[in-house]
Amino acid sequence: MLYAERDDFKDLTPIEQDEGPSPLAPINYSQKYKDAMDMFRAVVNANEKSERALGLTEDIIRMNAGHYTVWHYRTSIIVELGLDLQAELKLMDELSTEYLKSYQVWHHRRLCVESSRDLAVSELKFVAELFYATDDPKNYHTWVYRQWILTYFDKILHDDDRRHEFEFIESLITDDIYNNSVWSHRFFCLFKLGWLETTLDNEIDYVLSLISKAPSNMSSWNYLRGILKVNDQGLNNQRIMQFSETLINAKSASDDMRPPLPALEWLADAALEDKNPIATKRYLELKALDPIRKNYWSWKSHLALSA
Amino acid sequence: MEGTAKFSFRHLELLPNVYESNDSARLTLAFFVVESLAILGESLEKASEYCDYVYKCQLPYINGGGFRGSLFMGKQEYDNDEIPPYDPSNLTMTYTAILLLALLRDDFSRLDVKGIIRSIEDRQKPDGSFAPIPSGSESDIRLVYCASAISSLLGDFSGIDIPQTIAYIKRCRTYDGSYSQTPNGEGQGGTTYCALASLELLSSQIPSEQLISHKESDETLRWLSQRQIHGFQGRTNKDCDSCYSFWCRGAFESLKKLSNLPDDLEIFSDELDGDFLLSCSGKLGGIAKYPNEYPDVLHNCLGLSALSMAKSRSSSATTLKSINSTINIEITALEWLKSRINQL
Repeated sequence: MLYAERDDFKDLTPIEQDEGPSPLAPINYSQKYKDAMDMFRAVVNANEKSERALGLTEDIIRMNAGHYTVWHYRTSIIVELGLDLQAELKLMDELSTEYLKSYQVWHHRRLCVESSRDLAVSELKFVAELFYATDDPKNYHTWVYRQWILTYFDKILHDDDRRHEFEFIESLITDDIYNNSVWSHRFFCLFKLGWLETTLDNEIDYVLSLISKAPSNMSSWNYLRGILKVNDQGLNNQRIMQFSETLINAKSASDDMRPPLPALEWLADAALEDKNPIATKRYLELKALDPIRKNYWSWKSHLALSA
Repeated sequence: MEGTAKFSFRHLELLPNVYESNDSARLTLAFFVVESLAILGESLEKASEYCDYVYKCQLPYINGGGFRGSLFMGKQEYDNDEIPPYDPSNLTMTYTAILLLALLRDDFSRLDVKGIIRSIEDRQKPDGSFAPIPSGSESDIRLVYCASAISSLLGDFSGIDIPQTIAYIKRCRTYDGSYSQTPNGEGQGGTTYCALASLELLSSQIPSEQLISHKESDETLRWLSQRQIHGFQGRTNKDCDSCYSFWCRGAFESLKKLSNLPDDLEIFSDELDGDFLLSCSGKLGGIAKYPNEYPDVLHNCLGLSALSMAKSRSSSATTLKSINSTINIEITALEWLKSRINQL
């Protein structure tokens, strides 16, 4: 039933959206959306903060989850009526799943959570399950939210929670070794939150073991560069250099004859870093093997020549 | 390209119901449509009426300044001397409103510059980021870009705390040389564009060697070159998406200027990118996110922008007008805007 026809709203007069004679790119609103927005304008005009207004905002959000004004009004109703945030969070469980890519859904969820210390662990669990429920373990919003939880509640998390986080990372990498979001998240936990439980050598070993499984996976190679950089080390790391050479030789001898490009690139960039003239030759090899980036490799070989 | 013009004209008259979920961002949708037509070299009837509509969305200084996304709260003016709490201007909409007015060749005499600067100042957070609205929303690098772009267009950076802003952008830099939406996140093509374009715009105020080091620039160049698969992916190991052809190209152009790389340096394959973008074209015109998807106004506009940037190498795009990728606008509209703003 339309709001304009509802008995429980008949004391309010809906306010239409006046667009004037030449609206620019008007939207073909559904009757349901227009009706709800007409009533929303009336509610805001009366500055009414009530249960029925709360229901109205939910209806609009389900049609337009990005409507920041409607969200903002909803928040002010909750604050003014002193409503139960647990109930709101329960609704958010549904809306976060439904409108996974809405900035406003996740912002609103923060507001529900930020005053309750005991929600940290259950929120982490919710987000972990959401990756599976939505079959979208690379969703940007979900990761931003997870990292906010970990940062915001860092002080009250226990060693067990931290161990769980690494197990969670491990299980996602096992599911999909190419999921760059997980690699980025591992870096975040180790080096941004400072949950460093390992030595650099151990971490390099760990990454090399995963590169062995997927030798052209740029996510792991980029991560490897990242952990060296954060430790102020250059690319000319003996173990990685040897590993790369072994990988190139093994692959060149294998059926497809194509050495993994990131391994070749590592040797080339390490040589350029050390001003070793062999860099030019390496970049020209890359240029021949990777035509889509031929302009980039030409530029690098040019830099190597003038180094 | 004829179908693409028809697609844009159709959307200018009426956006289909699917855009209902973007109701509060209508000026930005309108910008995508009008910018697409400008790149295609089409001219508009009713330009001055459209300008009138855009100005109806403007709030004066006393109401916080800036532009709203549309008249969705049903009110054009407010009597009280306050920022209307449920109808404030939005920084993204202010940015696209100014671009729209330039594309529509407005004379800018009705632009409340002082109000706009106030609306930028009001939205900066203690961490240096910007929010689209005064309260109750996210704040991140996308809005840093909007604040930087508006300030540059108006030639007035007084609404921005520049050192704080730069510190925020630097905190968004990631271990692989890209930039994320908020500090410590995963690097992404769109947010890398926002970061580098902002730094380029801020380099008019701060020497660029303080904005990005030589080594950092090398890492970012490497990351950008990795993004091309056929078209461009937004993140490592993701699928191609037509809008990233623009974000990655735009990021590269800004990086060139910031790091004094040669103007004619090329790192992408324009032919392959052009092929991918054309494979995203719909049967009834318009460019979609992926091949065989329905086209939408955002991907149509950014796809055309990318094609325009690739036009020297992609034969299908030779007739497209040139754009300025840092501001993301057709170039004659930007020249128009600059000459008018200078006279204010």
